[in-house]
Amino acid sequence: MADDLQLWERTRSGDAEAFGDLYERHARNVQSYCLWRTADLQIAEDATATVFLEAWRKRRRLTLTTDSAAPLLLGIANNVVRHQWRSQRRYRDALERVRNVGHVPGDLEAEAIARVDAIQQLRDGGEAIRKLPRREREVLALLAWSELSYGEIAEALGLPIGTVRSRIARARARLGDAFPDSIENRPAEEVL
Amino acid sequence: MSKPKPDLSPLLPDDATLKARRQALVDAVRPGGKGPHRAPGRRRPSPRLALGAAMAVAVIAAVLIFAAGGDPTPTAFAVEPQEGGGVTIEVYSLEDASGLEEALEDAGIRAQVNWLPPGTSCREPRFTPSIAKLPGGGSLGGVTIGGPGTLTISVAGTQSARSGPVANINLDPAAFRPDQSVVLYGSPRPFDGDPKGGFEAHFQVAEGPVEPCKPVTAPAGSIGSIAVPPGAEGEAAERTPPGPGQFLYTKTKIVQLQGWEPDGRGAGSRSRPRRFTTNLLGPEGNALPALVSSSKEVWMARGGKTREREVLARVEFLFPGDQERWEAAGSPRPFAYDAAEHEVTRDSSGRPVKEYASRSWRGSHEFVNVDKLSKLPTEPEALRSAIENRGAGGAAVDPSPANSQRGAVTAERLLEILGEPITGPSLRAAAIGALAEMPGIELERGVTDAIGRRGDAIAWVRDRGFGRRLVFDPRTSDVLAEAEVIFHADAAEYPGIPDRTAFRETAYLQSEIVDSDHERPPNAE
Repeated sequence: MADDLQLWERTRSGDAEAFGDLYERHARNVQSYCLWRTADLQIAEDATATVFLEAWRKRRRLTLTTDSAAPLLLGIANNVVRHQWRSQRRYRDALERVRNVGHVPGDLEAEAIARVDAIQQLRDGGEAIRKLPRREREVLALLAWSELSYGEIAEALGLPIGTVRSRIARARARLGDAFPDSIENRPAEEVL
Repeated sequence: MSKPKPDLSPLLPDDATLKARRQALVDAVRPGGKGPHRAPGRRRPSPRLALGAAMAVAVIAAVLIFAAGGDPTPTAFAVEPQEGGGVTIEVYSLEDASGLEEALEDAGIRAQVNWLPPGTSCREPRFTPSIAKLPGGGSLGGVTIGGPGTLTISVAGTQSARSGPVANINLDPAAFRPDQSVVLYGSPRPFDGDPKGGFEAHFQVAEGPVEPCKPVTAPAGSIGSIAVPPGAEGEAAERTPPGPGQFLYTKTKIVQLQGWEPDGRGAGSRSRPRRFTTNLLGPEGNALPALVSSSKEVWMARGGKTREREVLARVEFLFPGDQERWEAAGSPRPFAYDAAEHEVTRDSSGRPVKEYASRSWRGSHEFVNVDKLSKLPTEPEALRSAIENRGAGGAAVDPSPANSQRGAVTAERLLEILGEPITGPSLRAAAIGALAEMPGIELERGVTDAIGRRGDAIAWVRDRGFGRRLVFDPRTSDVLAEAEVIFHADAAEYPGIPDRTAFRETAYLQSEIVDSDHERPPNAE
């Protein structure tokens, strides 16, 4: 299968299948991020589809500047989550189609329990970050939940890398002990 | 301390759901699908304009760049009333041309806005140029705009403009007479290494009627828009497209420069890193460079649908020590043939094979240029004139350099003609001749293609040491191979790669019409 750069180039020229490949590759990652940001499965699923519909609509304007399409998609996800209602209104019909497909679980009850449990963990685990001021929250969410590097966050949010660093430093000071362990424990070269 | 990260897997789609949603999404974005549509312009009516009390101002300030990611503005444009009268149209994209046109007209300014394909502009003349004088005082009062030339809003970029509009147009209806109107057109153009990364827009003032824009100097891929001079008669296309139920069979050998990174982070996601891919080479990569060869067969139906079959051939490292190291590691496969990532089987000789259905990127337009090709002039200069829409009988014009804006469009289109599967030999010879005459295009003699055939080559070195090469047989003008080449490794930031290494080369082996998408021509190699 082609790499992200090739798939994105084909997407830009209108190749819907290449776009489908990108969806398959990144949808779970985008949905995880939306779940963290919203702590609501239905909203996160709609937001995920919206991210890809937005990416398609803006494909000619967006350039992939990293090997992976993840920073670009997560940058869009950041905006979609922020402007949830406005973004989703535009794609009402398309969202309906994407929403209504999927498998029917064999064990509905067990699956429902697992979901409720996971949502609860998300709510508890993400609470501190969700309470941060918007600018710090957006940066820290990508660092902690999507495991982007500082450079990729800068790319995703269209910010200078220095701004990314200073927002994380401020979030660290604000959160104290609640600053996510997963960041502290990541090797420095991954973060930088 | 914060809690460990929870397991989100119960909340993520399983494989079957992911595939089903992918299909729904692909269906939604295909033409005719209920997918994204254009952003409606955000309109803020101007109370001052409604009162007709607008004062001076009309001038253009422009800044531009299309930012990757993080685009905070989903609207195509916004209309903001200005203190003292007039409006500022913040243009985020000219792509919504009709929306911008409407917004200007709502603000009391008649306008014609066109968004064109890359490299094109409107055929001139289509209106009488005019001048508008800005009324009133203030720093801009009395300034005139318009006139015979066009005001170009060209490509530029600053960090600070990344999240802002691509252009601000400050206009005041009081500057225009009732017969005057604004003409705006734009098209994508290269910026920051991206062929469509920026745009160029033009602004003019017209008086009287404005004819609709007829795009000229069309981009590569639209041979249909080349003006055929009267009397020009080429030969009939050498080959006809496949008839109903038939397929165009082509066989190529593809060689791609890739990198293998035995240690380190790899490319792709952290959970499933890829260690053998094109993404690992380049300025920050420390992967070991290798040439990965595959042979590819494509059966293309008339409507552009294809069946494709790729077989991995050789993996040849540029440096022998690397080859040994890779073999000692068990010869891990390139990502495209990694059985953990893709459906890969083996052929009778045990080589990895991928088979899939796809679609030509031009879809049902694959064979649309047959008629046009058969009518194009088969003499180099006449062909170039036709491509540049100069028409027959005009004065001869020297070719523009290939790296100029006009020259690049001409060169792209000549290469496009050469890439058509149905171009006949004398048209190919004319296209090669026309390319060879352009400054900035080199002719390389005695070049060997990916399967060892010798020929001459057209080489076009573009930005940053990268370029294209087209190898042809000088006796028949058959195109043997096409490649994207790293001509200057240092400039291209591929340290350690020998100059003139092909980044990706496609050698054409065979092309025939067959009756089924599993049939090979009787003389298949």
